[in-house]
Amino acid sequence: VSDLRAARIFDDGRIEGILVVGGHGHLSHRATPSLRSPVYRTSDGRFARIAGLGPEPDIVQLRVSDDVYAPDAPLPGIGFRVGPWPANLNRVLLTVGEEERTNVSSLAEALKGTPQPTVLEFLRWLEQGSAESSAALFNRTPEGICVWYCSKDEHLELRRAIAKIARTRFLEAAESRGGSLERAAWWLSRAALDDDAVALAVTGLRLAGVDVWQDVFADLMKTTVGSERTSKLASAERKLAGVRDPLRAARSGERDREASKSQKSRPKAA
Amino acid sequence: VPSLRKQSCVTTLHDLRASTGYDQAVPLLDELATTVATDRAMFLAENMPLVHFPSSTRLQDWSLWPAFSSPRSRGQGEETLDRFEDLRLAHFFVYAGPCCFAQPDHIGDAALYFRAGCEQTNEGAACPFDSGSLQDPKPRLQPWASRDVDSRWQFLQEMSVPLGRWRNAFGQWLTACYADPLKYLDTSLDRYGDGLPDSTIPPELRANNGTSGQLLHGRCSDRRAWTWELRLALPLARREASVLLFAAHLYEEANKYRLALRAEESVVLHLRAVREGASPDEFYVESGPLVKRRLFG
Repeated sequence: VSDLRAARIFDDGRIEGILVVGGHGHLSHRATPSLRSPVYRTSDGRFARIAGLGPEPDIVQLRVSDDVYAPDAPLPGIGFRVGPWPANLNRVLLTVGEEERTNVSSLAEALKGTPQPTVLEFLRWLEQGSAESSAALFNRTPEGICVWYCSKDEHLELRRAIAKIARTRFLEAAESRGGSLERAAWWLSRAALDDDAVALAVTGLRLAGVDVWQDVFADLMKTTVGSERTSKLASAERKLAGVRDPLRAARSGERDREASKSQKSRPKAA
Repeated sequence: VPSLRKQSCVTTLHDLRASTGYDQAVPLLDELATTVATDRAMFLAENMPLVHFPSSTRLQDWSLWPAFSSPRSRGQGEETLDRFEDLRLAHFFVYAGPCCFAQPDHIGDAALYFRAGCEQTNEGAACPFDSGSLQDPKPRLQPWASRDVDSRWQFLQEMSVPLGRWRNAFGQWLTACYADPLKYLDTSLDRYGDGLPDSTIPPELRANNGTSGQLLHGRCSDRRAWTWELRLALPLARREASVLLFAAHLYEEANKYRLALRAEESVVLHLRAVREGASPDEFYVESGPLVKRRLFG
């Protein structure tokens, strides 16, 4: 008897007989937005992990637990309960918390073009603060964290809006030089979808005196090219200097341009 | 030789020999390959960090613990006649290298690495596989899984070494089992094939577990059949913590934990994040490169 089981994947990504009943890890309002690894449960009450795809394109291999758990039993280890919802390989488990809820109207405005109705529905639900959603794949945990088992497209659309607003709030905090710079920088570090935003968040953490800023930078930057990393950080520093002290930054920029001009006009050495 | 120790791209000198296309014995290269492998094994054995994973403790609760200790010293578990269960309750478990000790029902998103040597003043024992895989009701270490509990217990006793001698035994085991001991740190999503030794002590471990064990028995042990387990009888002080591995979204929380520890003790705790939304499997995959970086820079 192996602990491996094969399950069929339907065309829409659903995995036959498997439910999402929770998410992995510690929940906190200082850890959103985030994607979480879903906790899968088989129809006979075992926890399962995806071990791989194949051998056929519509088959997924699952590794299942020896023990059987009651549907309402506490999760073993550190995790949280949601659902149950039908497991779907095209969906991700997104958590949002206090920062996102505080900015929910800005998030709705930040959605580009014609937003997907489900994204708008989620934001309305988030704003209203109701405990449960009747039909959609939303849950609110006892900690007040909102969990959405959304499609990858829905996730991306919402995350783009969150990243945009987190950046705006961060620049506002930097400009006002208030005590919230660290908090805004941490939020941006989690919301960031590209290296420019990560570099900006890391620069904020450094200015706020967070001594692990180099670790954050090393871990979160997607590019591994050293020169690109340095240039992104330098660019973020210039951007932040411009926000915090526009006059000084402008003078510094002029000096840089002058220096670069004189460098170019200098005859090349033989 | 010490400079070759760190070359992860050169699978000792066997590759170099193979690349010459010369199939006759090349004594000098063979001797050098053996010397490099032995040196590498001893280096790994002396410096291998120990991992506590998966966490059944929240990040914020870790900072409240006076030390990492056995379930029994934390007031959990009753007296039992089951020797394996008694072993589990009386010890705090850590593992050498990859954090592969996760079952499908282990849920969590943080792992803690302790620096090599943290076990020096402790008491306990170590063995080159997961002792839990010999425990009822469903032992999975083949071919012992089908044998009675006395045989399983006896095998564990035979394979265990006192904690004070375990690094030396680990070094000798690495030399005996791998042509290139660095393979011990290989981690991919193939838990049954990762780090597969070229031979094991005893040979049945390799033949009946991992990829070949799946074909023979179906249910068997994965790479835990060849990953060292340490059973610590005394609490492990938090100041021995070295690296906290966690999912990226927990950076702020992890930093709070690090700061809380530093305020109380002289802890040097490095933070390393895994991808946002990482599963325990991804922690495992990340742990190999993490340990290599810690060992070789």
